Amino acid sequence: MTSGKTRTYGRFTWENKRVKLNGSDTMLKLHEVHTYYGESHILQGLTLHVKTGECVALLGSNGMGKTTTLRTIMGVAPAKRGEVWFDGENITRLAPFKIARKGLGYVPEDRGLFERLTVNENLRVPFLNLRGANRRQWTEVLDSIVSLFPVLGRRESQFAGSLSGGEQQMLSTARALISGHKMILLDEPTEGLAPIVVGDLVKALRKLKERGHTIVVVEQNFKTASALADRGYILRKGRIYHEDTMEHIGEKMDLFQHHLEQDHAREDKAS
Amino acid sequence: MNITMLSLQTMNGLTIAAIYILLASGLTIVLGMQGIINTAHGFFYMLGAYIGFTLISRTGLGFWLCLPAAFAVCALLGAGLEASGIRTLTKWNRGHVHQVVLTLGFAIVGTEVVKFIWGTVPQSTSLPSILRGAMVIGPIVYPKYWLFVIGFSFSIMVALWIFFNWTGLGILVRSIDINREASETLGTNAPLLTTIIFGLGTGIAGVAGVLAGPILGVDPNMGFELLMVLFVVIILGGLGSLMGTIASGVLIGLIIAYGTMLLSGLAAKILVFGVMIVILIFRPSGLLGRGTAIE
Repeated sequence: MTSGKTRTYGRFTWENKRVKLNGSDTMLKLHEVHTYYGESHILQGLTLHVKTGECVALLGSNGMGKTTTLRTIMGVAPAKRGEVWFDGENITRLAPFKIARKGLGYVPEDRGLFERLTVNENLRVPFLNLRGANRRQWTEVLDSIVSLFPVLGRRESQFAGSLSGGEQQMLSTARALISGHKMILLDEPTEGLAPIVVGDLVKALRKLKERGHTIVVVEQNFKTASALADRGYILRKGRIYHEDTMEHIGEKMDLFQHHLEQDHAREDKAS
Repeated sequence: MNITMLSLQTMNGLTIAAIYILLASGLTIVLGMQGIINTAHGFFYMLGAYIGFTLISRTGLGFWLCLPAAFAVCALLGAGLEASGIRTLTKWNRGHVHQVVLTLGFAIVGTEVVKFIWGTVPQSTSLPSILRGAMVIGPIVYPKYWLFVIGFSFSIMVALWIFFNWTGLGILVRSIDINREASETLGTNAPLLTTIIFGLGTGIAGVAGVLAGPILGVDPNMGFELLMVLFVVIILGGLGSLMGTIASGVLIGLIIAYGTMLLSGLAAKILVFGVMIVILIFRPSGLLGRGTAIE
């Protein structure tokens, strides 16, 4: 496996890292995963994989299990059955903080910011949790984040709760990047943002992709998803309905929508 | 009432306040940040007082060694209670009622063990020679030890404030307070930090017990008696607010001192609850409360 520009500080490695995965190039693999919220069976045997350096989009209408898939990977909504493998390790039963420390970053739908902490303090939370990280490296990490999201440098001492929607999304993404030096999961990153802000964010995410980051993105807007992702999975009722390159999915989008609508109509009739 | 009497009562009130603040700071961190209702907090205070009494009176160890010893024993015991009991309740999605039952049960059993070991007769702790005697401040003569208690409590509060606001660990603790799930997905070991902070709170309670011993005496029920007042201090100050705890601790300390002098001890306690009700009507989140923020 190729290695990009890798900085190593003792046990701590950050930025542009491509990881050799026990002879395999699969970074993430979900096998027959079942997740429940109470009695509700949300993921019903979901299987997918993500290769190193790849950007994969999870598509589908609301309530199909896209967000739950990310929450299951992060261990926030652990799988009851099935297996989740990350970087060659079975992480199915691990606590969220242990999964994060393996190099997986997560940007939740609500951004999960610490509103009463400053931008700087928000960024320090994942950094403080990295093993072997010290003050000198913090400056380097901060510089790198600011190069990707310049606005965060100007708002460093501002409370996260006082930022605009776009700035909050950038902060949340930047934070996830620090812990997620191997891979990041983005849940609806452009939701509720102005088109011009979406453009800036997509540019930053594309830059990340070019640097070799592995990305899984949940996105309602197909145009945005196809601007970022190489491959996509269409989810339906907690299972994979279709898997293909974004180009092919785009070509057959009308057909998929037609089929999904027919399925919905059949279910409505049956119920 | 002359100015000397007033000054003396003010100093008395501030000394009581110093002990309340120290005790309540541990309780407000645990309740405000972690949402854990620790009704065993008073037990740790009592245990600290007995540790101080035993080490000073029976083993001859100095007062200065008692403070870290009481902190260590109470912190370890508190951490054990959190890790083995409260964490399990959290895992089982049990609410506050279960926490109250668990911690109250722990306190009751613990108190009985203390009675078995030390007996039920109230004891008093002696002071190191450097803290004996009085100081003359203007028109009033004031015990040196009481001034020491005020200064010591103030130092601990400053140290806590620096810890929560200026250290990496403090940032992580505040992040858990604001959004536990988000903090965990960024790699924060929230269960471990919760145990540490719970231990810190109970350790501080133990130190407060050592400090209170020479002033208020040592007896097995001292923790339960103080618990209600402590909850008044933290609710009035605003849950999780260290500054609020200081403000309400001083207010309640002065109300008790003046109330006892002008009315009676019982009337002073009733007055404390009256003031709390009035303030909460106008400021439901307490004097300096802002949600569950640690300020």
